[in-house]
Amino acid sequence: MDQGKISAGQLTLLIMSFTIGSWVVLPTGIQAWQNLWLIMFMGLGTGLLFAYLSLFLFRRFPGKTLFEIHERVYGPVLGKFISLCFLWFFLQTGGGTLAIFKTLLRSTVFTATPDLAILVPLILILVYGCRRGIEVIARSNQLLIMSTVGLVLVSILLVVNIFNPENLLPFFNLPFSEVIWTSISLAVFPFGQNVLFMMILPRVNRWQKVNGAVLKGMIGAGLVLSTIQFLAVGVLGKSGQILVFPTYEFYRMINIAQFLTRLELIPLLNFLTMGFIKTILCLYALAVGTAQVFNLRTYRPLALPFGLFLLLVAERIFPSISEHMRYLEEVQTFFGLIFSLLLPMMTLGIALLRGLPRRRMAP
Amino acid sequence: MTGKLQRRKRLKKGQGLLLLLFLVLAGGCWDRRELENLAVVLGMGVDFPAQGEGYEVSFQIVRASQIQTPGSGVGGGGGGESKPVWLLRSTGPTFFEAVRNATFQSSRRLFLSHNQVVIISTEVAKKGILPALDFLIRDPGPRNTQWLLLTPDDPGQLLDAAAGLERVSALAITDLIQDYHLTSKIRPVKIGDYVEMMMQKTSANTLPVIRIKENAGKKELLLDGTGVLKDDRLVGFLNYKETRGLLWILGEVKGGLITVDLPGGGKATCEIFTAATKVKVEARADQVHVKIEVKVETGLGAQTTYDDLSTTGQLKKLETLQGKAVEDEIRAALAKAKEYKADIFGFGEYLFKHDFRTWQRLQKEWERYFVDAQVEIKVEAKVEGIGLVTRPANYQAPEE
Amino acid sequence: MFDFLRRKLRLAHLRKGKPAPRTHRDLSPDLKTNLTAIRRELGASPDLIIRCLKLGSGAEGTGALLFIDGLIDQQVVNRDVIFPLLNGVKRGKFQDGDDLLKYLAQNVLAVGEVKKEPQFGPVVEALLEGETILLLDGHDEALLLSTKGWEKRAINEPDAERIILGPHDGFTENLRTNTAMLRRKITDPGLHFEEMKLGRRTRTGVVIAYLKGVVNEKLVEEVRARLKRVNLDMVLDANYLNEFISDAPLSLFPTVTFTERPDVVAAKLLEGRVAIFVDGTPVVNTVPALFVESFQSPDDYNFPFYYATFIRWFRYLSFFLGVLSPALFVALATYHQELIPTSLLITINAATEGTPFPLAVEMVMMGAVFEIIREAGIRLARPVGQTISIVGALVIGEAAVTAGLVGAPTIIVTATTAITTFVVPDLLGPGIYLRLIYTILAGVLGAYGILIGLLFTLLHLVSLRSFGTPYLSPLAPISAGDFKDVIVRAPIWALGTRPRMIGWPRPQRQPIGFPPSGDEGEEGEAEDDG
Repeated sequence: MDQGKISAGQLTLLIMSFTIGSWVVLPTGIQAWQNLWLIMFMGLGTGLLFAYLSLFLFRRFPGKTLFEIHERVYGPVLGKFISLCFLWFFLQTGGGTLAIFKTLLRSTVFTATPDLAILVPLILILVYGCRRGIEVIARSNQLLIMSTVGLVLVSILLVVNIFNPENLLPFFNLPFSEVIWTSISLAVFPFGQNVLFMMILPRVNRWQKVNGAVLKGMIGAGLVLSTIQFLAVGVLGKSGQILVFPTYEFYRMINIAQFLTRLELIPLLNFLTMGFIKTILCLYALAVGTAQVFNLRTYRPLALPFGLFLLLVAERIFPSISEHMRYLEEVQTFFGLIFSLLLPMMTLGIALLRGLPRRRMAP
Repeated sequence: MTGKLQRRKRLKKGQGLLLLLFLVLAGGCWDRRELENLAVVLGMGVDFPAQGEGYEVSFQIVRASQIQTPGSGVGGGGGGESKPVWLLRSTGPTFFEAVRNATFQSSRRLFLSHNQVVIISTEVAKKGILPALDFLIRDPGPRNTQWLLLTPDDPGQLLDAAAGLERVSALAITDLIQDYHLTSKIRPVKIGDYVEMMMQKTSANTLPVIRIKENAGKKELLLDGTGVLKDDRLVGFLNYKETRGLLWILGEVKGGLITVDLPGGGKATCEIFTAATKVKVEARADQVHVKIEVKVETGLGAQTTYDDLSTTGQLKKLETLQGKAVEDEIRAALAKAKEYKADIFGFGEYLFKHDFRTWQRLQKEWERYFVDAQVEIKVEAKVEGIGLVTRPANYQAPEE
Repeated sequence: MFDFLRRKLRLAHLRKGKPAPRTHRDLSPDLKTNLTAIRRELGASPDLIIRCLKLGSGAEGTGALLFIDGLIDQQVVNRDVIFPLLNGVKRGKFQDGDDLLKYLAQNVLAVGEVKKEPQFGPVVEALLEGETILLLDGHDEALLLSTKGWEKRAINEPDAERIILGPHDGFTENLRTNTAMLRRKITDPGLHFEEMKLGRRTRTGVVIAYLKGVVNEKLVEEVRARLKRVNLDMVLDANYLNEFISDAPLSLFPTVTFTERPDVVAAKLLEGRVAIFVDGTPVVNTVPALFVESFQSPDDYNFPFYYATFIRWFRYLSFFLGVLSPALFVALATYHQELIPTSLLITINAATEGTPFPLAVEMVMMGAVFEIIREAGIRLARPVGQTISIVGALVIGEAAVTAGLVGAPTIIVTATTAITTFVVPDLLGPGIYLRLIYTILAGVLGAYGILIGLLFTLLHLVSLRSFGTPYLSPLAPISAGDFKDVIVRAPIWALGTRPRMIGWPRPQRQPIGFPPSGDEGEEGEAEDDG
């Protein structure tokens, strides 16, 4: 197993990147477009509730990954089965993220380039990074997330001359049910996918600090996403609603003195690094999780096969971007709810009922 | 022994991966476009073909080597032999097809990402603009800051017209459009803005009009008023004055001149320094009330009389006259818009943004409410500057 | 793939032979036998001088002085060794039965260091290191007299690391001079030197220097252990060790830094690093090495902090331009032309009209030409070097553009690269490779290719360690406290702590955040504001 340790601060930044991950280019809840940046905070609140449920579970079993907890709570057979379900969830999350970025690249910059040429180099460095362990992932993420936050701050300056505050009006013209639905769907995606960090929390060097780190990370991600959405609405107005990649598109509007134009490539690559971190974490969770389910000594040899598996999923999972968007809007919420809320809740409930863990473990 | 075997296996795996990478990359460079193989399009025109279905698109392609750049003694040789631009016409059932069909004629691939202006013939505009331009919005290449213009003439000929001081007419048009703030009698529209306006349910669009002006047998460009589009289709035109009125209401007047007739004969022209507009739309009972408040600060720039207009009393009078003139322009625009039943001012959008409930109520019959709307106009004009002189040189004060 | 190479390398370690056994023979009491043995050992080398002499009348004895011509100080040997030997014994109170050798050492010989040695091997070694050997007939021990002295280069400013302000002395090829120069900088009893001999045949003196109380003891142990593992037959330069002890020998990035400047070494020791001196070279290694170190110049600390900060930013910028500008240009001009401002695009379009090669190929070609010109310029004698630059500039640059072989923008970008690369000389090696890789990636996949390359580089960099310290710290892992000397160069009085990852045993240098205040406090503050 990976012996690397990360600090609570690094965990915070990892959670930020993971949450920003793919939502930033393919936002869901587009029906609430104009108010999405506000509803984001409601989603964040709900998402935090989910997260704290899982954290409560973790704090009962400090130092154990989700899969180890499963085995203790459900016994080896059922526990392994539930872990396998989670593996599917990770696979789907990672593959979906890759698919989003593949589509983004294919439909903007590389219209003629085959999927493989885009995905294979990416998969190779994903595998390389995954084999290097969580320490390396966390460290490289520190630089990448800093550049993304920097980009968001700079873009506030860049859009000043095309930002129209009128576009933000009216606030909350939606039916209440729609608002609730959107915030729940936001709580599940992007925030709910953070359940994956249950595989990574044991690698934090001081587990007592985990709660604060998760809180900070999710709030940070919420702020970044909300800011980007806010800018996009102010710049694009309602026309953002018909766009596939509105956050990408609003950077196309930037025009500084007829000289700085068409800057969309920079945020595109920057967001791609966020997707990179998200996928690499999925890959890591997949490899480590599988190693734990099958009691392997090390996860490293699994990185490559799972990398190729992710490639396959990314290629095959959605036949078209429309299908993908529909999935994210309609199915994802239910599917994600099972993994980010129901299963952890059930595990926690059974653990409480069975009075586990029997004796308090020293961390 | 096993260690060695493993190493060998690992080696094979490493080689395999490398091989995979090479295979992927070796076939590579799918989206590569060498600069010298690009035909950079700077302007496009859309029209219906003389016969048959579809669209006829004209492309203004720049001949880079013919554009003299400072220091490009090598590349830019032989300038003047041929025009720096090349006009290419191509037809197809859709805009996209027309673009691709251009490869039958062009040795280089058309590159639309730097296109600056799209000129639409009024015929196309009457049938609807979005169906014609969908490609430009959907494709990642063209920028959404392209300027849209209407022309009653043939767009191709227009692009081929003399560009005045510039070498490329598309760039000349860009400059013409961007200097709108010198007169505020033209309203520039980007393709992105157009789409945004189309998303608003009640608003009508406007596009600037450009046409060919014959000057001593030479064709030249002239920006001439504004076209009004309702539901994406051209319904009429506004002249300069009405366009100014539109800009007043939209709060987009950035500069320009106001000329008034003086009561004692003669005219005075003032330059607009700053202008600010406040619009308020309210629905009372069964009628929409619109309140437009304009504040404008100007400076006296020219007069055609021998009177002293620089006294405070005269300036006050001038201010009133200016207020009238502005109100006049606004009224003219309102009248035209009501005639076309086109809410080009975004009154409905205002209601949507500020009074969502009422808007939902009025939305269905907005056209009627718009035409019946009562408009109250308040103009506050101030003359602040008088330039470098006070009175005309030969001015003689009236005897007391 | 790298794993494979590493394994291969490890294997190579094992295949290396054991060091040849040294002779452990004792000296014979017979002078002739000893002399013959030494002659046989050294061959008929003409620089081996054997001076036979008879001791003065006080104590009877025949002896021989042996030394290597050129390695000893002739004056010292004549005045303080030969003269007393011939005359001094007379005057002394030698009594029979005394140990003659001890007597000579204590009463006669006027040299600083005298050792007795019974064994043959060490005697030969000492002889080769420049000591004078006194053999007496009838004694099976030799006296080793330290009479080292040879021609030394004067202390000069190092050519490779020029600075504008500050100390201009540089290390020389002499180990003792070098350690002395360091002592001159740090008069702290904690400055410890540990010497060892490395290289089976060169037997080069290697000195580990560190500042006790500041350095992390584990680091010293690690350095010691790694140096012990060095199994080479020659150590001619610091880089011989460098490649042996660095953490990632296959990485492009240097995980051991080197310098020729005593002030730099002093500053690094005071940060808690360890320095490795090697005899015979002015280059001194320091570990652990960080990526950001390459961007720090001694001048940064000799100039006002605001200016130093500014210059440091430009150094970062230059490095990134130097590594990325060809790749970015290729990506922009062949994939993302929409990003180029329209007028610039037309200009470039006109300038590249009719060039036969793809831009990426052009770029790589011109890059190669530049490297060749650079190398030729370094290797050739200085006057000819000038010619090379003219040929490079005129013939290759101008003519290639005129002939339409390459576009003018390619030349401009190559020139930019050339200049910017030299701003950070430490990273010249990695820079060349990265530039090439990025350019090829950009030619294949545009900006996405560059991103892939950058991500790979990033992953590689963060996985590197230098003697336990993460190579990319304090950037990743972030230690914000160290940004004061990385992102900016804070005023000296604000540099209160040592780098957290290196100097953690004794982090505090001086009172932290001490602003110049006191009696002239107001004046100082007024200056701050300005």
